[in-house]
Amino acid sequence: MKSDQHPWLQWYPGALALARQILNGSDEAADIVQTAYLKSFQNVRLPNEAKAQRAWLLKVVRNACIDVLRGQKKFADSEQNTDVEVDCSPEQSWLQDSRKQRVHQALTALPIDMREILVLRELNELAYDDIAKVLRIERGTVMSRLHRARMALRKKLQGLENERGEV
Amino acid sequence: MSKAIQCEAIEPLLSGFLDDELSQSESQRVALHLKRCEKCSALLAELETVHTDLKETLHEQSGHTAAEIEQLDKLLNDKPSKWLGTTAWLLVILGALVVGGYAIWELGLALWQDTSQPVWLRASIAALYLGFAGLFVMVLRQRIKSLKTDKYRKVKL
Ligand SMILES: [Zn+2]
Repeated sequence: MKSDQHPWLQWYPGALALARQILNGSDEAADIVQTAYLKSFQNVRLPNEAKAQRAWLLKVVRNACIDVLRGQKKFADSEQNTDVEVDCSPEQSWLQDSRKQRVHQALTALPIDMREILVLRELNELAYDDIAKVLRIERGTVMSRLHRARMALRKKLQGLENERGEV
Repeated sequence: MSKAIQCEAIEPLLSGFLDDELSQSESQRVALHLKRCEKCSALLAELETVHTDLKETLHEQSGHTAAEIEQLDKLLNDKPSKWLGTTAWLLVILGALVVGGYAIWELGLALWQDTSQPVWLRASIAALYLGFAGLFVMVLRQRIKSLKTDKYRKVKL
């Protein structure tokens, strides 16, 4: 990250990952994040604190993604069955690392609410209070949902490892 | 309290414990239980592995390009165009307000001062001006008030 870059850009990868998770890896994700950035800056009353700004940006991204999902549901209810196949560019060599590949696979198999909370916590490293703000839920719900998500991921991973063991 | 019940109460707290998001008393309770319970300790270790693996996977996977960020940086730092846009709008609105206001004012004043016009018309014009002035003051007051109170006014998302 160059030092003369806009400070908010350090959150770009996390914001993009969030959009990708909610939208199932759709190409729209990058556009949505870009629009969210521009939209945020049209707003005069931004919070002063960096942590709050980050939560703010992620909230804008999430809401935009949800709007997209709503639109898709309205217009193409049948197409909504996007499966485990998330776009993977060929240069993504990490896919050859089988453990990471399985983690990736397990994550994609989780429902949206679990995926998004995992991205907010593990990649964006938000505190529970900030996650609560982004998702507009209680702090206690953040804790229980995150725990359920991790437990579900663990279970899926175990399933995948077993599958591999049997082959 | 039987051990199984204890574990049941502790398990949902393990993620919070891992993230250091528990209250002090909760955290102590979990730590105490972990010392005596292999099952929960093993689960915590597993959760930690899942946590680190996922973190690494997500970090490597984000798959954005430097060009993307650069483009966004340009857009964000393009202050002249933003500034120009705002100024242009301001000028248009201001000009329209002054010109329109002046025309209405002149017309109203001419009618009002023209003693050959019926009294009801002149009285109505006076009422119109007073009414406008009142509305303006009211809106201004509301604006100022809402600015003071609602920090996140625009972001009812
Ligand atoms: Zn236990």
